[in-house]
Amino acid sequence: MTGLSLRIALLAALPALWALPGARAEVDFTRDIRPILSEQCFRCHGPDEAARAGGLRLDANAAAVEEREGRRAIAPGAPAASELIARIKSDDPSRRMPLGGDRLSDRQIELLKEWIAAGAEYKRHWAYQKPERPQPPPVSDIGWARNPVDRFILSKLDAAGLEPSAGAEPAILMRRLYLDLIGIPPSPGQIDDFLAKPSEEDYLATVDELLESPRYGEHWARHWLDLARYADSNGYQHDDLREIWPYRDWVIRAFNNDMPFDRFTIEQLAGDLLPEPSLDQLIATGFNRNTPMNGSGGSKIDEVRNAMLVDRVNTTATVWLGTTLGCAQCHTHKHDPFTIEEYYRFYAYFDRGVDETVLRGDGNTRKYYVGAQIELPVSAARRSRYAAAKAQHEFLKMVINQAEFEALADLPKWADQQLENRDLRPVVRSALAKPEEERTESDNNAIRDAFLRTRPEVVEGRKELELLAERMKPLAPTTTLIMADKSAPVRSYLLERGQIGTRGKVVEPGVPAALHALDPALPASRLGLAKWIVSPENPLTARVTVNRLWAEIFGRGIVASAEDFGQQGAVPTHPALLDWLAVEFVESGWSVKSVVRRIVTSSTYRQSSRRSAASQKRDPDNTLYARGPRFRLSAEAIRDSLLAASGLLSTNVGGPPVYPPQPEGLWKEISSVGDPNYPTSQAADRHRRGIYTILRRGAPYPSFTTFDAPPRATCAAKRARTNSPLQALTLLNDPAYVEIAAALAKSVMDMSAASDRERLVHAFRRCVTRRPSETELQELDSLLNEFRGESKDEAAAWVSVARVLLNLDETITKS
Amino acid sequence: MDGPGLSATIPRRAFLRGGAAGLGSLALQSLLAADAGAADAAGPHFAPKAKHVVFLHMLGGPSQVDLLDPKPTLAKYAGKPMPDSILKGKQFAFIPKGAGALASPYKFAQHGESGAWVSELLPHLAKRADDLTVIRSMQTDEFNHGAGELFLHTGFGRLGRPTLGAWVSYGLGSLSDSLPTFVVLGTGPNTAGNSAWGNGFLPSVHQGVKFRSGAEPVHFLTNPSGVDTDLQESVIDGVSALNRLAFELYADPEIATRIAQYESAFRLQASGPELMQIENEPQHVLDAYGAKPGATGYANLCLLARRMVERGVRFVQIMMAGWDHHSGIYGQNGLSRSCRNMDRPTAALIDDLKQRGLLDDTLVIWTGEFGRTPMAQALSPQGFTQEPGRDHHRDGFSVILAGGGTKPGLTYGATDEFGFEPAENPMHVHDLHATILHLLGIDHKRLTFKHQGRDFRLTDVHGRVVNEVLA
Repeated sequence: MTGLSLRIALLAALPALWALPGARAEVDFTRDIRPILSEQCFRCHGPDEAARAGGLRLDANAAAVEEREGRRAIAPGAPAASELIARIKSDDPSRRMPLGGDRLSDRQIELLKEWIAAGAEYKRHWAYQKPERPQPPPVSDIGWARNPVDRFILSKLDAAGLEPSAGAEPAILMRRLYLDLIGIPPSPGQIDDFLAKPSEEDYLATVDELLESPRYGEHWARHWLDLARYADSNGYQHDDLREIWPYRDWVIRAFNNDMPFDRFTIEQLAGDLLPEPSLDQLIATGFNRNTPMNGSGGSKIDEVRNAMLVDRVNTTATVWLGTTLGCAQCHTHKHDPFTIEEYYRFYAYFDRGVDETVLRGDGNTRKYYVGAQIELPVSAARRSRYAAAKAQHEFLKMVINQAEFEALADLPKWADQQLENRDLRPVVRSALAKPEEERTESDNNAIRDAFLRTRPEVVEGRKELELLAERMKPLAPTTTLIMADKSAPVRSYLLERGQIGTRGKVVEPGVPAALHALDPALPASRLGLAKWIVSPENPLTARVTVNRLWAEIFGRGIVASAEDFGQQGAVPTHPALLDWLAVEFVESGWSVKSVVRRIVTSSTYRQSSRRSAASQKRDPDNTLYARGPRFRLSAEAIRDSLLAASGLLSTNVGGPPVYPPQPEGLWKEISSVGDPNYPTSQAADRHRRGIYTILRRGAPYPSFTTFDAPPRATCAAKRARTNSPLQALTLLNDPAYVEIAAALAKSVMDMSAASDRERLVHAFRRCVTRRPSETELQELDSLLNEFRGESKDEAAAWVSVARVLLNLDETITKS
Repeated sequence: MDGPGLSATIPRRAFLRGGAAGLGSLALQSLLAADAGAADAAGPHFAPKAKHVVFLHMLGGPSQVDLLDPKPTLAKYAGKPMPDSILKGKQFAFIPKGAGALASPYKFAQHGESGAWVSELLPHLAKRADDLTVIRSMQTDEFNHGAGELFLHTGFGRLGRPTLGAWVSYGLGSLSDSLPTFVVLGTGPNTAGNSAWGNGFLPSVHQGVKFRSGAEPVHFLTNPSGVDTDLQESVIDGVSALNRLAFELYADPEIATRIAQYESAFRLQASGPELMQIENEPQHVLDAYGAKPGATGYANLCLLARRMVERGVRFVQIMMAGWDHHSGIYGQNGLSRSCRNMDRPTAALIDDLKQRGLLDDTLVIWTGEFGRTPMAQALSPQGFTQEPGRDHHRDGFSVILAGGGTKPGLTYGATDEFGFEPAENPMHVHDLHATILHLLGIDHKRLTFKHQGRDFRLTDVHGRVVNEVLA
């Protein structure tokens, strides 16, 4: 109550601030004008020279105010003398701008007039100006502000006449914190002490403890792997599996160790070019080997390569620059200041890479994804066991070959006896039906194979061989794909209209001129590019990065278009906060953990997520943060949380991908050639965290897809959050979740000497963390009794209760 | 036992079974309006001709010169290389330069009042010639299966874009409160995997839902073992009752959406299996398609497509495997067999839709991801091998349209004398997309979704509505 009354007192002392919402603010170029110009004008009067109409460009001040044929598009201070105003207001459709488009709204026309009247001042696009640390603004209630984040938030709330919500109930807050930092909810035991006596000190200690948990990296790596389009297969036809999981583990370790983000950047983009790179620095370059590869038989190697380079350029630009550089691949960007030549200068950095696709000389035109790779070191013991197994394998193969060879002497006799054999496969029967001279090679192979299957010595031998191969697999050395450049110089070209057939001029590696300058001392390689990206002069990287961290926690970025900070991107809701966080990020030594800590220790973060009537009405999307975040968990976090609630979750860290049970035959549906069989994991590997689940691009784990996990075909800066009945079916009926329900039921039934109510409270807390209200408990109790009536036994009744709890909105939501 | 819980279960049950009378329309509305990227600005932009689409994708690429586009000239060049002027600058997946032409071994005849040319491989479709619109000048950009499938469905040869069905779902929404908007059926694996019915950057609620034959047509549609419908209903009732209490706590509209989502799932559990029960069809209908309860072939899928359209599925996509005839243009086991399996069920589907008055607002599309070369692929030094085939061909192939506001009996476009590339009225896949959307009441230039800083559309910066093929 003291906080509240203090705020009222302060509000009274700040009349100017809370009078603001009524008054009309001055026209702001960034907020009001540039979006209109960019949306309506730049397509024909923007940076793209080829598309420019009438020689007029409106994206640069000097050109727009220039006198042309006695007229000026924009006459600063004189809207009436400005051709632009005359043309957007014109009633003549052949003159009215935008040509062929809808008339601008009266409000837009009014804004443009006001802006010109005020002097038509252009400002450089905000995102291309280096952020400077802003002063946290004065606020109505300094006591509410636990750290500067809160002052930026509260100042906007003050201006809008909204009040922050009260603090979240401790159990709900703890759940939020666990889910945000480690991606799984706390068990009742983990937070009982805190709930008994919640203190600021304990809260901060919990934050630090969670940041140090190995689970933290497993949770935060996921958003980075979406950006890095990490997957375990090539995509496209065959969709062959690839081994690059050491990169995934590297990302997890990097987050856990809070590797400074500048180093994190350099190692992923150019670790191979560092002096005497360590094993880890090489593994990190897997970032750019994660690109999909079209290995289909008829694909052309130069087109495949180009597609991969384009993917690397576009991904790098999205991830570190929040820039849609990809728009300049075929023509100069229509809205942002990037030319097609600059696109191919950026491309030239990647063009030096070694070739990555090969044909194997087996007469097949299918391509394999190879390129540079390294073997991970293994223990001497494992190495020698592998060598021994391999020798044994070779030997056995020889023995079988010999047995086959000897057996084949009996083939003609056997073949003659099979004409009436209805048990043979149709292909074999039809092959046998042909006269010998008409049989094709595949006919003969089919017959040979069918015959050999009748010979016990061959069948036994093959079985043994398979077993041996199975035993060898885990002993085989792990490899991982890395980047490497050619040693000879490479000449890169501009590709007209983005087509590889139409080479334009030769281009040197370089960066867009509209961004910060490239230090000429930097090497013309990916290493130079990486160092340019993490330069303190770069206006974008820190902002883009902290924005994504914010979005992971609040469900939406300060810039809603996390992938686009260009002129067509969203305007930041809290520009000063974004800049403050960005500067703080760099000055803290690029520490991701310290940004995350800053956010989760703020009062803003700790608010209740309950929607008050006022905040629901005034700000349904919570863009002003008058309440805490509440949204559905990610696909992986849902499964991880439910596994944790049931006690099944395996906390094993790292290693090869795992294959949790999924419906039969999904891999057969995409490919009969490469890896049609899904080798379902056994034991603890069935219950590992989602980040370790095999990701085959053509057939990703279905329940993840249903909950909006992207197939990682391209860089994804944010995930959608949709609702579909298939999600309900998954949590209700997927055998994986039924198993989880059974485990939860069992652990609750195993509680010694507990009443129904105690068991119900415990199960509820495992799923949603807080205690049930009395009404909720009564509802649960009556459900339990209803299930007892409908089920054959006590255990089944508890499984039904568990299924109810696992399907609750709150169980799959961060409240 | 006499707490409020038990009495509360009675209205709960009424609420679930009540279907549309309960949260029905709210459910639909909120399910479509996901909290990210709802289709608020979508279509229709004008009165549609078609409400449904049945998209029949012949995986691999059927041979136009053996089915719909007769080319007597090929006989003259049989075994001899094609003229250089034709081949200049062209790319093929597998065949080497200098491959000889391969004349079609099949007889063509004109059919119906329209006089459309159809080969003897398609006797049933030939009889419906006056119901069909045949386009003989179709072009695509891609000549590999994976990329070609993606191009056919997304207008882009690489991964990451939404498919036509997803765009239609985004643009027009659902017609059914118990079945998905976009359903996919298939007889075998396709090269591009799920991406051939993926949502790309659209919200995932718009992705195609794969229905499979067998006990569980949709993943996780069946109750867990030991759970009957009543128990399942009690569980869902319990979930909803507790969710309503949570709504009191958080006042979050997302919770109402969640309640509707479970209601919708329950209805799908009932309507999904019913939909798949083709044994309920009269024998003469089964016979017309050649469908057999329990079978998994294309005939069953065509019959299912009709049942889906009838029940309000907006977009049905059938992937029929087996059209990649690198060999087997001759003989009984290659192209000929694929045609036998495809011809009758497709004709039956058109008849059936027509008889039920559904063909007027259902657009049927029959196409491969590309066509096949007029040249032979399997050419050995001694001439043809035993089973000559044709390579992938992107420059000119044939497509069939029926119903949904297309002009019946029309043959549109023509290829050159070799069946190689269009000689008149070329129609690109982008144009096909624009035309399909137009028939559905959507302006392809206005159906957009903002992604990575720009407004994307299915047709990118291309596409022309081909008015000539519209009724």
